[in-house]
Amino acid sequence: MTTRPDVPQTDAPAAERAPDRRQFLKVLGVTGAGTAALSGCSTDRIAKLVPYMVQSEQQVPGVATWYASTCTECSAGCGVHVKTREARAIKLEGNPDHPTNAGALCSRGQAGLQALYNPDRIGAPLARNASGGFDEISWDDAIARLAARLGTANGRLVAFNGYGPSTFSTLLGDVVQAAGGRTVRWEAFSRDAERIANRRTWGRDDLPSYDFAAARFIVSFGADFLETWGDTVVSQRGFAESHGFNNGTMAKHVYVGPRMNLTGLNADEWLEVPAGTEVQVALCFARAAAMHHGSSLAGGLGGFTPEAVAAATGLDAERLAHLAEEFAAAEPSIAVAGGIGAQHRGAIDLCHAVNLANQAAGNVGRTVQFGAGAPVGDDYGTVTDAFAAMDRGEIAVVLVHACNPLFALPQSGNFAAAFGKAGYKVSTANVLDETAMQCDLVLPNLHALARWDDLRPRAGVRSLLQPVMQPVRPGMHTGDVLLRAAAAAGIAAPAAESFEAHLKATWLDEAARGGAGDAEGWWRAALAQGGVFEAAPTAAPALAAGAMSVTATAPAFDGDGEFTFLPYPSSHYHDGRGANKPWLLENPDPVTKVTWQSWVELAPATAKRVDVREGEIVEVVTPHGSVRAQVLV
Amino acid sequence: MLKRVLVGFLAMAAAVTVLIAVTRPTDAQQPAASGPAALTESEIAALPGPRQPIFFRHDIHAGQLKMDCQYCHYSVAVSSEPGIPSMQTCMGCHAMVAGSDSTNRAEIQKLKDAWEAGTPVEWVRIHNVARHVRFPHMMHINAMGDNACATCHGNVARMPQVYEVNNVNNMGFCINCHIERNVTRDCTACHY
Repeated sequence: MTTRPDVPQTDAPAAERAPDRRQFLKVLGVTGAGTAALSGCSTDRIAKLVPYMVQSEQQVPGVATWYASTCTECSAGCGVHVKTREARAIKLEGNPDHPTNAGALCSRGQAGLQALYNPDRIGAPLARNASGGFDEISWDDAIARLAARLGTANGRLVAFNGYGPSTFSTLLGDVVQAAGGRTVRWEAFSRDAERIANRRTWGRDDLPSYDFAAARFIVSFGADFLETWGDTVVSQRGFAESHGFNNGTMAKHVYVGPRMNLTGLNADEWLEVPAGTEVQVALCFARAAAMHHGSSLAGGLGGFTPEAVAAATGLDAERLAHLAEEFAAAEPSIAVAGGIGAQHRGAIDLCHAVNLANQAAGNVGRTVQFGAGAPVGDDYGTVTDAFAAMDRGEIAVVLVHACNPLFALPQSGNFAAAFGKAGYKVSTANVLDETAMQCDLVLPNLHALARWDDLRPRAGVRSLLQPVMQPVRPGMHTGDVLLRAAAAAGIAAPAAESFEAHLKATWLDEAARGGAGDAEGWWRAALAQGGVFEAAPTAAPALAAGAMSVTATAPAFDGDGEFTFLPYPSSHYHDGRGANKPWLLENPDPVTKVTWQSWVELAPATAKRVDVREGEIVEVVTPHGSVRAQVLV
Repeated sequence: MLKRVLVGFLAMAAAVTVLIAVTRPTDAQQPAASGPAALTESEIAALPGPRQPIFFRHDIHAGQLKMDCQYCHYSVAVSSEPGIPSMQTCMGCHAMVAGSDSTNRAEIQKLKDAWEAGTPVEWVRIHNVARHVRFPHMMHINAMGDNACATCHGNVARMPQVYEVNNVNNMGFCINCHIERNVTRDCTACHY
């Protein structure tokens, strides 16, 4: 197959030439230049060479140009190197200089390229029209409308921001606050239980960072740290380092949970416990650690002997005792909880138990460090409060940025109806996602690879984003939209002619305060590296007053029925945002190897008992909703 | 029987001779060496090669003016792609150079119109290889030194209209040269 051009021997275009065989050969014979038939690889298609109007000096066709930027597919904010050919991004690779991923890039990051070239992208601002559809309007019109609404909102304004800590998020927060509203920082997966547990244990309202590389014994209580929990790429790298066989030793990994997931598959031992009983095992480990290290915590944990916990969970007591002792003796160990295992009523107790285990084992300050943890959004309560306010008719303007609440929030919660009661709804999505479909105004943001931005996922990491190509579809940086709308509405905002200028000014200001001499040179170096990275200050917290109170809430599930329904996020689709990317869809799920669909898992023994075979469609009914899907046995 | 075979053979030989005679370019097809003259429409129509949207004459630019190939085809020594000059490259001279006769002026005017309109000129591609072949220009240019271009593309500096002198899509053409110069004949050098 080739794009070898048709070489017409006359001036007549190829389409008009009748391919009379005799004529064809005669023509070939006369001029001799057209040996298409003889070579056997040709099409009649004419290839065109289209030059640039103005050539970029940096660019050589056929030679790739690489840019450093940051991935925005999840909150981790890994650094990427973007390969561009002829001013089009064609591949994402990890940035070796970035401390978060050090050159690795997960499947979601790689598939970010498809979001850039998504054919469903909108190319112009959309406004809801009288008949319920959307009209394309100009940017000036769109910003005027937004400004008008912001100016008259009178404090009845709420913004949902799914973009992590950054110059942009600060700007958004400031503008919304100046307009009298409030911003809800949206995160994809709630880590509320961990935060509340951290308050209970140490009086701290943030999340620690976890050093899997340093640990010699890793135990996870339902936290899928290799899939979706926390900074997965950092965890994966650390895990690979410690769990790899080095110098005759390797770290031991134990997974505690009802379902075998990727994290469990990589474990050396799987403690299969009924859902909700992980807390018992955690307390048993904490007790072992407290006794081993002579900690004062041992007193309150006395009741959680291996025998008692084994009776409650169905595990073998001796095995449990052995593992708990290994955890206590490892120098150091690490215990984590969160993710799937912490989405139930006893989750806070579980996370508190794990905190105690880490504290007793002396991990705090070694493998569990505060001060450089992942960013936290607002908790679920804040989100539901905002929707409740909408439901009461108290919200005149709602702005949704970089998140899809109507998709992510459960249907049983009446969120769509509440959203509908808000006065004027604005989205900055660049595709018509579930939330944007219900909005009155859609202002498509530029894709991450085509805009100036930064991301500060945790202390010490300031990542830059730079445009690597012209926008595939026209859009406007939401930062520019905010600056212009604020100016038009008379709302206080940073005086900058564009968001790009504001970003650069912010960075140069930070550089100056940090003592950098040559500001421009410093800026260029930061761009080339993908940001500025420093060691984060870490804190060693002390136990809070209420830390000693230990409770282990027994699992309590809504509804009756013999099965426990355990929903979990996919390592490919994340919170579902990747479900429209063919690369992620065709990539088999690491555990089940299923592609292109969702499924319901049933243990083989159970499937046999209820006479369900693989591939059959079942309906799972719970008090909070039902779902129909194919069964995977 | 023998006579028929003989007649057949002679006919084939004659055909082959005719084919060989007309496939090799002769100077009769090219204009005179000193200062390319203007061509009439019928002369242009008789030229080999595809008609381009603007009648760009290499014999004036590369021949008379002795512009280096790499002035326009700038990436040929650094990239697999030879590079087609951007409109800005053309306008670098033609913002001022209007043309020496009415035909030239008409063509240059087309260029200027395209520049003003912001639409690039879409040249018809002449040399192309099949998609399963990779041809890196820079390796060949760097290895063959001066006059590398003409080795495969012919005497472009004498062509009013570029045409394919050698069928570059013919693997034998590549292999013959590789044999002559004793360089790699490994399959994966070009097919990967």
